[in-house]
Amino acid sequence: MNEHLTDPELLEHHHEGGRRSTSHLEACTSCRARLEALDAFLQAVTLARDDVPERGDAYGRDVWRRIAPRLEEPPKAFSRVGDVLREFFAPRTLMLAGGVAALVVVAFLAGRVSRVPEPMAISAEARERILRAAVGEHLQRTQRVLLELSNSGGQSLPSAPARAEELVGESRLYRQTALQNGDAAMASLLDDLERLLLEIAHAQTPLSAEERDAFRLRIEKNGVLFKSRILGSRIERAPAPRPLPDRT
Amino acid sequence: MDGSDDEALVARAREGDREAFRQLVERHSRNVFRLAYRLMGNEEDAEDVVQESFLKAYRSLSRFEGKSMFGSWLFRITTNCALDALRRKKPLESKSLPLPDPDSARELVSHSPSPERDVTGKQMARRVSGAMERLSQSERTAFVLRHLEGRPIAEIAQTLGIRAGATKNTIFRAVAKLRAELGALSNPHALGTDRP
Repeated sequence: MNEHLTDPELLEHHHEGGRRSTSHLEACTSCRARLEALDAFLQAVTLARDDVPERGDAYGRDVWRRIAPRLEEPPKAFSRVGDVLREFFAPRTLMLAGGVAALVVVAFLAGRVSRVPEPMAISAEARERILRAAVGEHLQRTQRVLLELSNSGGQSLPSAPARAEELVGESRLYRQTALQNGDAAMASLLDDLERLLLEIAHAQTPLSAEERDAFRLRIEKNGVLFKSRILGSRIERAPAPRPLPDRT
Repeated sequence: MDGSDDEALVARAREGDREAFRQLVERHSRNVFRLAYRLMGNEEDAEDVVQESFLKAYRSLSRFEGKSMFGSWLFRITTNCALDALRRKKPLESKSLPLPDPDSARELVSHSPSPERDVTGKQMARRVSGAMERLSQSERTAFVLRHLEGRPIAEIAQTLGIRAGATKNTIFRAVAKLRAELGALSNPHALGTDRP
């Protein structure tokens, strides 16, 4: 027996079988033993988690009774203000750079949604300034991750997936904000970046040489780095909005 | 209940027929709860996700293009709502749990009831729950969708917004981490070593 099945191949065989793996397992007792151990483990985990509390026939009516009064609530962007506020003031979020993102969304959404009580609103000028700074910073951090991938050479970049995962959450917030703002170009770019960041976040750690090459080609083909630089420089050069008239 | 029934109800709901949406809610509630519970790990959070999922589905009906079954679309909404909820939760502190009996995995698999096995089963359930909560959100979600919900890779990839290869990697990482943490459930050929 020259080559045993790798662990990913065993897991794939557990899910889907396969001619090559089946024929190898028929001949290899050690791989069969490994597969049996894997099967037993996954079965044990499944049984341990197969404890979903029963919901009877009336459950659907109960759910409807709870949500019916809320169907005409304001859109999710408004209802998330409280959630974003809680997230912003959570110690973990304050420690992360993403706390800036939460502040931006709070500030931006509080101002954009007219039904927010007046004491929460801040000036339009401040909102725009905060939003521009935060989005610009986010684009720069994203560019750094993509540039490192593009220029990695033989380096394994073990931290790239974790950094990408952190950026994905922020990107979603900004994309939703851009959509609400009617900024289609920014929303489209953030959508492209988010897809790429998700792929990087879910890649093996550290990245294999093949994955690095694949990401490098995608970055070049999509032109996301170029687009993000263009939009980033537009953000920096955009004139400050005129202040609102004094309401007093 | 089949997809064509759902299709008619969705069409009516999109025209503003709340009664039609009510029927969709009643049809799909239990499945949504099951998924939400498996992703969140407790009833209270799962119930919140159930409500948010249906509310989001109602508000997004105009964007449902009918390219997939309503149940599959609702499934993706539920997964995303659960992911959002998981991100808002504070991460749990790592807990050190006592190692179980080396035979506990086999006892768990056995279906013969006994008080001893029931206690062991509960201990194992707690250990597994703890280990799953220490996975990343994407790992936990991918693992639940694959192993507990039995969803195909292509659907999980579409739900998470990543490629099939990345989905497989994520599931593999989840399994490897669970085996590393759950120790006694593994045998000497633990994941993480490609060769025995």
